[in-house]
Amino acid sequence: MALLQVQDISISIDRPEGKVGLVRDVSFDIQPGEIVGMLGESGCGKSLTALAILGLLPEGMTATGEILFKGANLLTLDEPSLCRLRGNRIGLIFQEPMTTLNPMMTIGDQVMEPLRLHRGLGRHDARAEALRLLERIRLPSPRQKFDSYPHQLSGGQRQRVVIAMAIACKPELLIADEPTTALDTTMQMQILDLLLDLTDETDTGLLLITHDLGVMAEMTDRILVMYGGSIVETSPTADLIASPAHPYSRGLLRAIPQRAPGSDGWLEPIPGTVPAPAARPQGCLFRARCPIAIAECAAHRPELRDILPGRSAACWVPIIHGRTGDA
Amino acid sequence: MNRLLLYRLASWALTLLAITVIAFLVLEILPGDPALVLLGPDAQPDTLEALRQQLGLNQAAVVRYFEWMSGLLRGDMGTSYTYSIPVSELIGSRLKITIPLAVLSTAIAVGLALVLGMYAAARHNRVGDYGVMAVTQIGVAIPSFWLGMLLILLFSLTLRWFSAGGFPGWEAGLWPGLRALVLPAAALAIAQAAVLTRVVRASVIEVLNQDFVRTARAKGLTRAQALRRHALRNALIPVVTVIGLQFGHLLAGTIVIENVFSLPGLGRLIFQSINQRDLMVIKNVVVLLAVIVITVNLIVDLLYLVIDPRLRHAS
Ligand SMILES: Nc1ncnc2c1ncn2[C@@H]1O[C@H](COP(=O)(O)OP(=O)(O)OP(=O)(O)O)[C@@H](O)[C@H]1O
Ligand code: SF4
Ligand SMILES: [Mg+2]
Repeated sequence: MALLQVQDISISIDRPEGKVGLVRDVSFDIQPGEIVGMLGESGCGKSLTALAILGLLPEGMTATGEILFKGANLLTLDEPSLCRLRGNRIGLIFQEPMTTLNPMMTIGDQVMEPLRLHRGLGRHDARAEALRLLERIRLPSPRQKFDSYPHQLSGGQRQRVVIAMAIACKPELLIADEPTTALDTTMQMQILDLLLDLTDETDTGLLLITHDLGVMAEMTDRILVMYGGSIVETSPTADLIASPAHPYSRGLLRAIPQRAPGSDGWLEPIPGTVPAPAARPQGCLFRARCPIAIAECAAHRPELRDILPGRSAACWVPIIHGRTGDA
Repeated sequence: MNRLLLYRLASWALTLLAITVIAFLVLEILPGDPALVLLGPDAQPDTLEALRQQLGLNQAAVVRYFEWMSGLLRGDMGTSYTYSIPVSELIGSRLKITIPLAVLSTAIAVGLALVLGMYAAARHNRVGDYGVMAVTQIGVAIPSFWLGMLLILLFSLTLRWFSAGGFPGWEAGLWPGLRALVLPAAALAIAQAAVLTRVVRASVIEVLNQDFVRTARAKGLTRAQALRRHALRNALIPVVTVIGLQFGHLLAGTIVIENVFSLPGLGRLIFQSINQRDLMVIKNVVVLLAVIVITVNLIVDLLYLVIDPRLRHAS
């Protein structure tokens, strides 16, 4: 059974002018030990999807659909049961290490919190366990850092602490929302290696959200490409890199100099912008920016469908083996 | 030592000095001859002159200022014109009422504000929140003397739970003393509580929207646990600031409230001495009130250091 099965998740927000859809019909699943990447421009709904899984959407937003975690639907689960899952069986790592830690609480207290909450450890045992965790995530001089406050740590050290909190109870599923965007390149690689080690050791499923295709290519087994609130392509990582099926995926690859197949090494940003959630047109959302759009694209929005074994795309003319053809 | 702390102590001392100068100058400029007030309009010119001489009113202003200061340093505040007892003794006995009144009132205001403010924040944009906001609107608008009279009507005259005014003295015991202070403290506290409730609410709402509260929820804390363990302490800084700022208003409020409830406190003393042009009492009480206010604000600054570790380490 899949560890996580997300089915037709839609997220909308209540605005004075009415409900506005932010995420539409997103479906994917994650197997134990699998690393799934989620890729897409800023504002396409990656963080909201992650928050919806944990039932932590901001006030005023609602999610519909099904989110099955080991068979149990998280969207219909009551709040106390969700609290028992969060930080225990599902860990979440946020994108901003500067603001995700409580500035007025010591590192030690913050790392001990999930241990005391979910594993019922007393102060003494929790302390010993938290120190072990801080060592495991390779925080320098953990004993001294234990009683420090977040402002006394560097960005990379804080992100290690955030990871320590997320993995404290050995979750079966880990969601990392841009865990390295705020860090410099060396620190990025160290943190990502750390995540790889940790998930390897425990067979944890990992949903890794990032803008960074390079990171994706190196770490993930499979990639979900999101655009304007929907998934437009899902493919095994190697396939997607070698031959992106959706014109948007191809555009993303082109925007990365070294990796673009057939490009001359220059950065080639995709022209145009994403339509705002409240102003989404009929038809394909990518149409205004798509170099190969056809008449059908303006009339009907393409659904995600299988184009090859293990690959699907939401496009009327997906690029298969480097060639477009009406499917 | 912490730089912030040193800076605050220095500014405390400078403010104090400035206050004595201002208090002295203001009373110099004010019209009204204490000798004339004491002896009445029919007094003979030579009797008046003799009294002025005796009170030291004929000396140059600078001389009188420095005499006052050197007296203060020795703990000597001079003698009251009207009561003919040392001002320090007079003030001391009045403080025994005003300080407990102010502390009790602050405690009531802070307690109410924390409960109501947190409740409103937890119910942000829902009925409970609107209800609390409406109540605070009324609370801010009600003048404390009028509320005081209402409280007397209800709790003293109708229900007979408390006396309508006066103070039995602490010699009568702790409870009778406190009992006499409950109604005036409540009358003073309502407006403070209303303002403070709004501050607590706004502050908690702001903190609840911060990333680390979401982190706390992602760890599995319930909404209430996240509020208690993570939001409250962070929300406390602006609350403490406003408590400090309000303390001055609170002391000003005691002048009115002590008159409504006939409490022989500092507020009533300053009211009477102004009526009687008892300059010796006025200037010392003014300075004392100022010292209390700036000291409370100094304590607030020290509390920041206790609450916020970031300030503690920024030395
Ligand atoms: N608290 C909120 N209130 C209103 N709208 C929101 C809120 N959070 C997100 N949105 C909107 O929802 C959409 C998706 O946001 P989301 O945060 O999921 O994007 P994202 O893909 O994570 O982007 P980024 O890469 O910048 O993190 C955006 O259009 C954003 O404007
Ligand atoms: S459906 Fe049409 S417009 Fe949309 S990506 Fe495919 S070709 Fe481009
Ligand atoms: Mg995001």
